[in-house]
Amino acid sequence: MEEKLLEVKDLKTYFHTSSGVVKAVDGVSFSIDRGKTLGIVGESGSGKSVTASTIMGLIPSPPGKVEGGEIIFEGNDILKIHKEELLNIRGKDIAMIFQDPMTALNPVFTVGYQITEAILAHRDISKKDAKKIAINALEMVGIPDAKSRYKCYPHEFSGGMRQRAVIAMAIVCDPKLLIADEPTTALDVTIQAQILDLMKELQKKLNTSILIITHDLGVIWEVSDYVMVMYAGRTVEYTETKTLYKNAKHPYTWGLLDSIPKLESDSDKMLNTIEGNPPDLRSTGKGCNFAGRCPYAKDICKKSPPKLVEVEPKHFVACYFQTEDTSLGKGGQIKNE
Amino acid sequence: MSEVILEVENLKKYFPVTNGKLFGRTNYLKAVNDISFTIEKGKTLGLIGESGCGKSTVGKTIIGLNNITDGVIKFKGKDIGSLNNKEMKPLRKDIQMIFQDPYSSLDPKKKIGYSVKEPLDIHNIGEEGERQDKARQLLEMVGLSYYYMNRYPHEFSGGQRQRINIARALTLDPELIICDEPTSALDVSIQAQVLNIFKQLQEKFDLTYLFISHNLSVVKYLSDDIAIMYLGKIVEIGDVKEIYKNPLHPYTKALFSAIPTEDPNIIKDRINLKGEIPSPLNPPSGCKFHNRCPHKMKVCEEVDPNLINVDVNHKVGCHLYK
Repeated sequence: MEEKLLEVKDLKTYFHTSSGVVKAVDGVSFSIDRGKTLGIVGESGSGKSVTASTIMGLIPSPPGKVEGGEIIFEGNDILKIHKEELLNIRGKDIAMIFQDPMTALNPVFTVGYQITEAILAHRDISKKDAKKIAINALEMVGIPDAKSRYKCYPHEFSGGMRQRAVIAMAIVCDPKLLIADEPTTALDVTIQAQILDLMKELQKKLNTSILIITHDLGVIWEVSDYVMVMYAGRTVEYTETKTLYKNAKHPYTWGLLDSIPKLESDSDKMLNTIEGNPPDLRSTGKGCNFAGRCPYAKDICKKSPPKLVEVEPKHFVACYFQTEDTSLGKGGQIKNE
Repeated sequence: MSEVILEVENLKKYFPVTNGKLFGRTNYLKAVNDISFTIEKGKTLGLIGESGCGKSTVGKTIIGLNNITDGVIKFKGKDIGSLNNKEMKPLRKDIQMIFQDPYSSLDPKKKIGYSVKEPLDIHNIGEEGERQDKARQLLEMVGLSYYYMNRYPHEFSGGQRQRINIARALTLDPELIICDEPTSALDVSIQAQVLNIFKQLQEKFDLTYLFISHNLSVVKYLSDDIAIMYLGKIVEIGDVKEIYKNPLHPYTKALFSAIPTEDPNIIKDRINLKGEIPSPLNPPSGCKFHNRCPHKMKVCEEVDPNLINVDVNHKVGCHLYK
């Protein structure tokens, strides 16, 4: 029986700015089982990073505010618990890897110091033991000659090695959940392949759950068991990775899958594109946020937002055509031909 | 036989690096170290490589933003590598460049209509009215309405800005466009729109592209030929379909195998490279790839391999093929 480690229900995070309320996350629901990986995929501004920051409690307030929803981690709603309790969870049970390994490390402290700092903040052990754990972690993430590298400053590391050091820092407290926000976007493909392999390996060893955020579907195919597609602050589709590849149901997901140039495909044909641009997040929420770009949009799509409905086991879609009017099921088949 | 529009022979670009002391030794960073290629009219050459391999330096050197250290760049048979700024100016019309970052490549204080027509002002072509008309036509060609002409760059999204950059590059009816990672700052759905524009414009105007990118799928989609660079050298060059089907150089193979899978049901056999790219200030002896290569032989440490023909349009620089 798989056990839910984290469950997010109808999360809403808004930013109150002088020019209006930005609905960065506006109704996102998902769950992660122990030892599994969920990928969140979406374009810039779709709210995927804000979702992660909200789970970590890193939303600056003001202007940000969690307007609704629940984040249940091991049975407790972490939006409701006391700040001091959150400090015990954050960094220890839930750790985060950021996109840019250049800025995630403090340039004036050694890499080793920064890793031991994370250990000492959460565990009551001596500095000597902390150093041992830190060197162990550096070895585990594949940094050669970890003992001498422990004393290096971040600028002495290359991009890939810095990201390894950041991962080492994240895993020293044996987190139950690892949130990785675009962990490989700043890296070259060969280094990206190394880091993704490392994350998979660590997951096997430590039985950590991973929430990986990316805009690259290729990364999703590589590492995740489940995938959630976000568009303009909402979940539009949420299912198993293989199901999404074979049998995507939301028109936005179709567009996303089609717009990637593929190595196997015929380069004489034009790419299928999604016309237009993503909506302004200050004016979303009246209907389906994708209605403005959706080739199948009808009147109802512009009037009220569709709910996330389980259309088949473990396959959730927020689209009127898949839930009420099933005529587009054929459209999906046309797509597959 | 179609016309060769750009010919690069033994191009070298070294950057001097001093160690900060007054009489200290000057080292040379060999960003581009002896590369040669040609592009025919109406074709696209894709230049692929990881960060620091010198691919952007190649683009900048061709257009004259860098002085060349050694070698020959011929545009339509004319040597342009040794021209000074004044002699280069008329040729700049024919060679244009599109940069990676759509945010920093447009002047934030100028309306985009002005930015698009400015090349005509500089080269003194046509009357003001004609220039305005041309700018309007170009913007419409890349899918932007004429009424955007009076707006400022900050009012546009990244994808729209990149369209404006494309329009501006086309203002002077160039023959060769150097595209330096033009889609890597864009989201996938926007990237697809921009790639389609590149393709349509090439068909319409018989444009020639030098397309620099680290994204193999993008390059495969647009290119006729590709060249793979590693530490300032071309390690493999040739027909894109041939190289994709039959990559020969160990680095090309590793690079292709590192691309994330396109189907979650297929798990790729990955060739894991050891370590990372060495510093170009202190490259390995012999073949630049030998310290990461899974097929390293003794000769690789001593002799730098030359590119050899393995097929009609397929060259590889590796001691394994001889």
